Amino acid sequence: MSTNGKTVNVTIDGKQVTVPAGTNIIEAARHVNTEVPHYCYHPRLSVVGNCRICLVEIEGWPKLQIGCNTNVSDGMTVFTASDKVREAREGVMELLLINHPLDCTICDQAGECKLQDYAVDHGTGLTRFAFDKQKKPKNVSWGDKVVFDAERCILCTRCVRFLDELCGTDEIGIDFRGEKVSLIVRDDGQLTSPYQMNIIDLCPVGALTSRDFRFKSRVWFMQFANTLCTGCARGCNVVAGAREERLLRMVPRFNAQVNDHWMCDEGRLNYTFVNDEDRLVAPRVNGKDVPYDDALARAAAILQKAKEGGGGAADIAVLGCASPFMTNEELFSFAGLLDALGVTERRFAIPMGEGDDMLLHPEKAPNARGARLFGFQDAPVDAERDWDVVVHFAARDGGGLPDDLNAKSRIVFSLQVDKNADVNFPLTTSFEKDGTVISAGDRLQRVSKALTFAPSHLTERVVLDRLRGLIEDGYQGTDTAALALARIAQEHAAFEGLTWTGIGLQGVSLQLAEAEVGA
Amino acid sequence: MSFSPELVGQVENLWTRYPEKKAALIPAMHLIQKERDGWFSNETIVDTAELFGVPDMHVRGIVGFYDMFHATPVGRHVVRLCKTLTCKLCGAGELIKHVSTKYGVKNGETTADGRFTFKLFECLGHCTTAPMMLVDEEKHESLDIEALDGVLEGLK
Ligand code: SF4
Ligand code: FES
Ligand code: FES
Repeated sequence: MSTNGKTVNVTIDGKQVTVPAGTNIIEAARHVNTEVPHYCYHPRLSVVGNCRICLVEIEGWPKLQIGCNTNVSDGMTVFTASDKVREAREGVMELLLINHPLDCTICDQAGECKLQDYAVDHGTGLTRFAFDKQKKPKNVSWGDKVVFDAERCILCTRCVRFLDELCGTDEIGIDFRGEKVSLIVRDDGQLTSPYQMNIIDLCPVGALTSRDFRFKSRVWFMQFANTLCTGCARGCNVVAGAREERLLRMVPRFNAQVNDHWMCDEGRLNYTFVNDEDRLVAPRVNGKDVPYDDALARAAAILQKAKEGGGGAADIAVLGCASPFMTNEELFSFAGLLDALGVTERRFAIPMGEGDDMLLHPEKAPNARGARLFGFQDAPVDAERDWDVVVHFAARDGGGLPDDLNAKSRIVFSLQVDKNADVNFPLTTSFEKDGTVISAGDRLQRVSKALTFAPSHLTERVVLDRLRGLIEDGYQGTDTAALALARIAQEHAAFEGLTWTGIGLQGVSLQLAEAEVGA
Repeated sequence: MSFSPELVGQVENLWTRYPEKKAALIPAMHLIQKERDGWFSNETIVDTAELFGVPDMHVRGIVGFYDMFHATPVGRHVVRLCKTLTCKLCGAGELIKHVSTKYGVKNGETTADGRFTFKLFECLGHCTTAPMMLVDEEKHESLDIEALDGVLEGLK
């Protein structure tokens, strides 16, 4: 599609709009906020025009045309809801539903199913088909991630095209054409692509469901947050869905700069730690649960002693160990606390793994760039040294510090109980707080709270700010991540002028010198 | 396994007639099926896909769609008997029954001696001389039981 920067003027349902030449009618209609119903069309897949629900009327053309495969031309007048179009759509809906089992009551897609939506919007609610429906395989396992239901499939081939055109594994095909037509998976019928779960989101109906999520909750009972996957440095935009304070799933959210419409399976399934039964929920001092005030007082006493002894000075050795899972706001507060103590030894460690040439990044944490920017060094901790005080944010895998580190006092923030900690504060996951991180490509993005951690919980940022208040007279922290960000914007040139709302749901690109964040 | 140079030559010739290679798949697949014992094994499907540079699942879909392609081994001959309206009205039903009692094969089955595979087909386009059947690529029209036996018994 070469547009040469040319534009055309079209009229859609009486509204005039100018769009680039080569735009199809579905996309052109979006410019005037009109949705032309569509199943098989997807902006990132080739156009096949097989579902026929997108029929529209074009002035001067004798027959209705499919909007997905018809590009607008200059002066074209399109009607997306004329009587002729409505009648045609009713017919298409009736045909699509002829063999459909109408099993919405037991279908996991209910509530986010295009068949349901369009049946209500464009169907008649009736069928004239009086014969037996085709019976086809249900509950077919396509491996440990995807479950297929042949009766619900409308054969739009979105799944086929995704694996063929974008993943190159082309492992789904169509077989038994005719009344028994159904999808098949190559060889032993098990999908292999590490991006295969995207076909669950692509499937407009309930034919492909997630083995992980199915039957856990009706979607209309869930609450959703626009946030990020924190499985690697890519920071794929997602919608995280929770119910009764349990995280149940992540699905990708469109961001042209980061992950387009997709996410990897590894990231999608990397959330169960949030629901772990053995999470640390209350602060502990010397192995006992205590109120926050007591824990704060104890931690402040340890830090006060260190401060008086000179902080980072040779006689009292203090180590601040951050984690690349922390938000910028937390890192900022942590750095501020360490500043107040005069601590110079600031470290963090990045968990490394496999990357690929699609989305997966080898850094398996969301914010290594932030940790560097706020002055933490991605370098090994001196394990030989006798440390007096260690303040440690444990990474998700608990790691970050050598096992045999010598430390007289430890203040630890962790997901699970840390037996060696003198003071142990609960760590929250990125799904339980608001904040920002710097993803690959120096993109500043927001994480948002999808569920509430333990009721009386104080976020780490608040704990850090209060600790600083206890050892530095007159220090006042901020109430929200947005306000913390405003403070960062005043102090860090790279954040100048940035605000919580300004970053928005899609993030912004930062101009960072390589020296600040590393390669 | 690779295809014979003759076959590849024929396919290359087919390619010259279409704007894209893929368009020649169906005519080429008829040639391929002939060279590979009358059916598409997994291997043949993969070889075909490789020759054309398309996903093997695409070729598989074509084999599954068209009745003229076989996804399971066939006998030495393929007998396609028309079962559509005109032929039915003119006695195809009798012939079908006869084939099943005399030769022991129903739709889709192959005789025990491997002589032929029997397939019921939709209208083969010779309604004027119904009932009719196609044996491999040769048509036999205005059939009755005797004529049918004559043809089938003559098969090697
Ligand atoms: S399974 Fe879903 S995405 Fe795939 S062809 Fe069927 S309806 Fe379309
Ligand atoms: S969206 Fe146009 S035919 Fe399916
Ligand atoms: S119905 Fe048999 S050839 Fe047409």
